This record gives sequence, structure tokens and C-alpha cells, in this order.
Amino acid sequence: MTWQVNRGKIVYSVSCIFVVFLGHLEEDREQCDSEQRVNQTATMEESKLKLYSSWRSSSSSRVRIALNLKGLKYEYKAVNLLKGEQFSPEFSKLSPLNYVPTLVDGDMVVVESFAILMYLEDKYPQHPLLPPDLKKRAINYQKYIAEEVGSDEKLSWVKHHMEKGLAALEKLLKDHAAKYASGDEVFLADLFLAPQIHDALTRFNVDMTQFPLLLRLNDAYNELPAFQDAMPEKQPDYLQS
Amino acid sequence: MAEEVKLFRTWSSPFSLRIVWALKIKGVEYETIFEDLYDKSPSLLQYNPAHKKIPILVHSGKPIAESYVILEYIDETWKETPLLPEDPYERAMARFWAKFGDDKVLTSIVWGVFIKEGKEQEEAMVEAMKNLWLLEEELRGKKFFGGERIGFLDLALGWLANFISILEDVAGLKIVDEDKFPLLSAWMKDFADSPIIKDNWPPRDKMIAKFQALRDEKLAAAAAASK
Repeated sequence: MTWQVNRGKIVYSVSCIFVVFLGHLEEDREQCDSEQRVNQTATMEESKLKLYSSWRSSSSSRVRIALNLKGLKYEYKAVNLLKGEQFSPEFSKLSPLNYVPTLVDGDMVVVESFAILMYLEDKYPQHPLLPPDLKKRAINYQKYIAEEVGSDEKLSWVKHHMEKGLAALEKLLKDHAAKYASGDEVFLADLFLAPQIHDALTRFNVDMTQFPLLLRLNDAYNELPAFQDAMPEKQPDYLQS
Repeated sequence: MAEEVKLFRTWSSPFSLRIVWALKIKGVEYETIFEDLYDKSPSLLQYNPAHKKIPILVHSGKPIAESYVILEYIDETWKETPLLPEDPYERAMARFWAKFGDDKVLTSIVWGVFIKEGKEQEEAMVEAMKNLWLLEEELRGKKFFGGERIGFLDLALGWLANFISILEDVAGLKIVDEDKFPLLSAWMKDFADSPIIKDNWPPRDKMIAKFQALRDEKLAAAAAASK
């Protein structure tokens, strides 16, 4: 990814995920590699959390759940993907990858839901998203698989294929799930699963009775305000795009 | 006909625009459904399981996909202001050059010149120029590809009239030079400023951002692959 890296910029890459320190993005571009580069920034904006989100996007849902779980207040900035608002000049300046969700935390700009979740986990340790036990941690990273089963363009999203993916998840979770996906507490895996199951039920009309474990998990998520408040229907831009 | 007409499209797709133009030229009332191609709706997948792409026209519940197929359907269903010429040979030529436009011109410009740089881009430019010369020849003695007024082939090639300048801005080079392509350049201006056409271009600033992002992504992927 060629970037204009200038003063006031930190480029921190986790595989191909970039965390860009908000400074002044200029027109000239410079090769960005995977090493960490630190620059001082002159401006310090008020440390307020802003989430650029689209109501329907499951990757935005995950981040909304995390913010709710950690009791973090944030300003909801709706991005209408259907109208191409992610390509508006203002958003392009902020998030050169034009990705939604994008989190702004004062001077920090984080793109890509997994990177955002990990950033939140690092900066706001309350209600940890990952368990201390290494084995359980690994399981939670694995449930990232839920993203592969989601409404992603790469796989065929007719009901049939979604059901195949859900069946795989049902099998995968059998050995680990208790009250929630990886045990008796809510962790990262649940943040990926909840929006996916929600979509299967509401958008794709999948008959979830064939997946009793996923259905039970869905019921458990429905009891939690952190999850409910993050669902598409509760967002300010619901049905507006 | 008072049956329901729906068009599934995106805000930026040139293929969708062809259908918008055709429907408006013929005065057909229709409903627009915008899609996010990274989050395709169940309807899109249901109406076009073969390709899972837009545009999709749904007329009285019956879906039609593939932009040229849709254009011909529209021309046959709503007969006022015909898009294809009457003469069979002329019709064949319009279809031939439309296909050439997508297969060769668009491919060589977008997937050749636009997403490349350096030597690779220079080579791709040669190919793109050859393709554009052929279109320039097709315009000889005509104002529009359809003759005196806009027709099927103009709608098929219409993306050139707006997208070329966006690609030129982003990639920082000239693709359709007025000196090299006087007829094509004049046609691009005339087409872009025509009634209906001029009111339906997608917002330029967003298009620039989108294509900038596309070029960056492709160049980075190419750089990574060559390591």
C-alpha cells in the first residue's frame, strides 16, 4: 500500500492492517513498510471516541458491541455505503482505505474491525475481550472464522451456502461453547458470531432451528444490552441507506 | 405498460449507468435499489445467482442481468426512441463495437493502463491506443456513434465520456489526447453534455477517491507479489 507518510503520522501495521495516526495527509506518496515508525504530532484533539459506521454492516456491529461491553461512549458517524459516502473527501482524508468501520480516538485513527477490537482491548482493558487462558484465547481467534461465514462477497451468499457455513460453526462450537461461544463469559468470538446469526435470521431468513447451539447463543446475546444496542435496528442510520 | 420496473445498481458503476440512461431516454418510470457490493442483498443474490452482479432490471417480477442484454430488452419492450438501428447489418455493427468497448477498450484502459505504472503502463498504453484508434475510425462522418442522435453504441461507450477524465486525474496521465483523437474527444464532450446524460453522472469527488483507492490497492498488491 503506497502511502503519503508525513509529519504527525504513526504507521503501525498488523499484517496488512494499518493504524494511521491522524496528522496531515498530503498529496505526495511514500512507500509504507511493515516496520513501526513514530512521529510526533503537533495537534492534540479532544480525546473523544468517534465511530464511522453503517447500520447494516456486521463488521461495524462487532465494534459497537465491544464499545458497549467496555462502557465506552462514542459519537456515531453514519456512512451511507450505498451512496458511496465512504469516498467523500472528508472521509477519504480520515480513512484513506475508505473502510467502514473506522474508529477515531482523539488523534488515533484505526481501520478494519479486527484492528479496532484489538486497539480497544489494549487501550481500554475493562471487560476484556480475550480470556487469560491461552487455549481459550486461541479458540477465540479461531472464531474469526465466523467472518468467513458472514455476508462476504467472496463466498456465495444464497441461503444454501450460508446454511453450510452455519452448520460448520455449529460443529466447531460444540466442544467449546457453554453459556457463550467459548465458555461462560462473553469474549471476542461472540462479537463475531452475534451479528452473523442476526443476519442469518433477519436478512436471509435461514431456518435456525437446525442449529440449536447457534440459536441458544443468539438467545443469550439477546439478553445482553451491550449486544442489543449494537444491532442494526438500534442504530441512528437504520433504514436510511 | 404499468408494470413495476426496478433497477438494482450501485452509485458508481458505469454498467448501471447505461441502464439509467436507456430507461430515462425512453421515459420509463422505475425504482432504484442501491447495492453495496461488499454486502450484497438477498434480493441481488436471488435475482442474479449466475453472476451476483449489478445491474439487474426486474420487470414485473422477472429479473434480467448483463447490461447489454438489459439494454436490448428495454429497446424491445419500450419501443419509443429506439436505441438500436433498424437495419440488421447496422445492428450487428452496434453490437460488435459495444462488445469491443467492454472486452478491449475498457479492459486495456482500466485493467491495463490505470492499475499499472512504469514500463508495464507504457506497454498497456500502446494496446489502449490501438483500441481507441478503432473507435475514432468508427466515428468518421458521424456526430454520435448512433448517427445524428444517441443510440445503443453511444450508451455502451458512454462511460468514456466521464470516466476517462477521472482515470486521467488519478493516474496522472493523458489517455484520450484531443490532438490524437479529435473525433472521440468531441464525441465525449457532446455525449457528456447531452440532456439526461449530463444529469446522471456520479459525484466526481467520490469517483476520484474511489479510483484512487483502487489504483493504490492494485499497485500495492503488484509490488507485494513481485517481492
